Amino acid sequence: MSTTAHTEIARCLLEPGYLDRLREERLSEERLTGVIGSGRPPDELDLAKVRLFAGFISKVQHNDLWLDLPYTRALLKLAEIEIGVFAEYRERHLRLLRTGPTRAGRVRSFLDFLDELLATGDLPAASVISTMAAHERALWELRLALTAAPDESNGPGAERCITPRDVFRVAGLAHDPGRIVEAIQGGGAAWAAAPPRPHFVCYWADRSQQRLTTTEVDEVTAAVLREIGAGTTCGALLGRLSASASPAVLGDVLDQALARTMIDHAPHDHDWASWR
Amino acid sequence: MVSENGARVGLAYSARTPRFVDEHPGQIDYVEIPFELLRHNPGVLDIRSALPVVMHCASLSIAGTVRPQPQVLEAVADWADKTATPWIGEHLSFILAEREMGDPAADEYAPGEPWNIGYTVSPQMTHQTLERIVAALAHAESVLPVPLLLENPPIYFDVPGSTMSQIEFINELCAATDIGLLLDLAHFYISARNRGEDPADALIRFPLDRVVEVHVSGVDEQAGGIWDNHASRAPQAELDLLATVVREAPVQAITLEYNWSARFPDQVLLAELSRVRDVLSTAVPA
Repeated sequence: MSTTAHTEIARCLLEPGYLDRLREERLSEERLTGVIGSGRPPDELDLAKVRLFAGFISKVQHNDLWLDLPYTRALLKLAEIEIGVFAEYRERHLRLLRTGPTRAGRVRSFLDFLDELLATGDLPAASVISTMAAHERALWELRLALTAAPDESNGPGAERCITPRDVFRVAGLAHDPGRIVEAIQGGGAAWAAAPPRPHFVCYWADRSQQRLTTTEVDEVTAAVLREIGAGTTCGALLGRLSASASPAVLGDVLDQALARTMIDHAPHDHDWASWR
Repeated sequence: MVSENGARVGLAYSARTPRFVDEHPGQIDYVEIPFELLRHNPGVLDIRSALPVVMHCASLSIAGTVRPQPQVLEAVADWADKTATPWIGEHLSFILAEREMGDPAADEYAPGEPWNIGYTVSPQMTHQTLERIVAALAHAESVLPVPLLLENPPIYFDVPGSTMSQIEFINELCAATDIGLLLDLAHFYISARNRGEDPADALIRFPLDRVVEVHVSGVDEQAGGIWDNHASRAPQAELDLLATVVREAPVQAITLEYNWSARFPDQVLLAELSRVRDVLSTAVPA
């Protein structure tokens, strides 16, 4: 009866939990009967293939990610793990769909999931993919920030000393994303052998110029920029980072950030000039 | 630009198609647009001022046990009129499946509503399914202003209870009806390879005399299988199949489906158009 077969397939595709339970039951049955590996009966659905097909459907339904995360998608494809990754993501994807997500919500949900999956270390080339996902997430977030209204809560105020003038992110990456892109564009498998090179990048969305720039920074600058947010005082910054760098070095970093108009400085609080 | 054997070459619609058409006039002869996109974003039909439109559809669940709501078929008919499409390509698949009222998996807010997979799936291939398809076609054709073409779906797994292969199933369908076919060469290649068959050998058994439209796109090898991929170039084996098809079949339209990536480069698209036109110009009409 195709009604039953179609219903079973549809439920497996739309309820990953049900599909997983069926797979578990079948596995338990095989263990009990001792016929593991003897092959699936011809009248039974190949649940492993159905699971991959469910992942394939989710993959196709995320084609728009090519726009914002082109090299992350390219790496998943090159590593031949795209369908498996989306099969893992299927349950979360379907749960998200029920909430009527925005496009940004879909992108963020997938990136959060990918971060978690890559952190398990079970995927090939995880550190290369992780670098690219972090890089493209930062660029994507800043593109959104360029089109969004400025967050007035970040403006200078009586209680604040240092505030971000625009929007920036700092990422510590295990590889150089530029080298990975070159390797992908060059073809072949060189992307998988991208040498690790600890690397700090500052992504800056300059609202006045409507421009997005990326700059490699040193570790101390990265640490300082990471600490700067609404309500950051010089005192708090010094307290948090004094173990990593001397006050004079921290003051130099802030001078450069101020000169590049990345931050604002409210002079009525403690001025870092006194740190030297 | 009609080829010597009468086939036109078109492109499946994507967000960058209007720009591509503007910047590369004369490269394509028509645009294929899915009904679902037209319904969601009617503005895409603006492209009809530049090129003819062929309509595609994935909503009729023609090989399913559950028919779509009557309004769906009426909307397809309405868009067929608006687009002036010569036919509507629909999948020989199901997207809807029954869910019983008492099913513990029923949606609490819509008990008894069918499952809607949101993606076309190859059906159980039996005589019973064929009978249902024949009835569904008769019903659809009584409402639609133009003929349907049915498209072979890719087979990624066997549906339990099937009693025939896809090629046997399609041949039986052709014997029972006068349906025209949309031969998706990537799907055909995938189904053959996933079943361990040589696609060229399998093509000999396909009812080519019914093929009116052809789809060309890429495939992926991943996770132990071959998968549809509209974001990569067609393998040469697929173009070799196309050469056979245009020699043997009354093909009127060849649609390149490269619509899954907004980053698909124009140069690659132009190269793919050129590959297809080369096949057309060198293949000898039957």
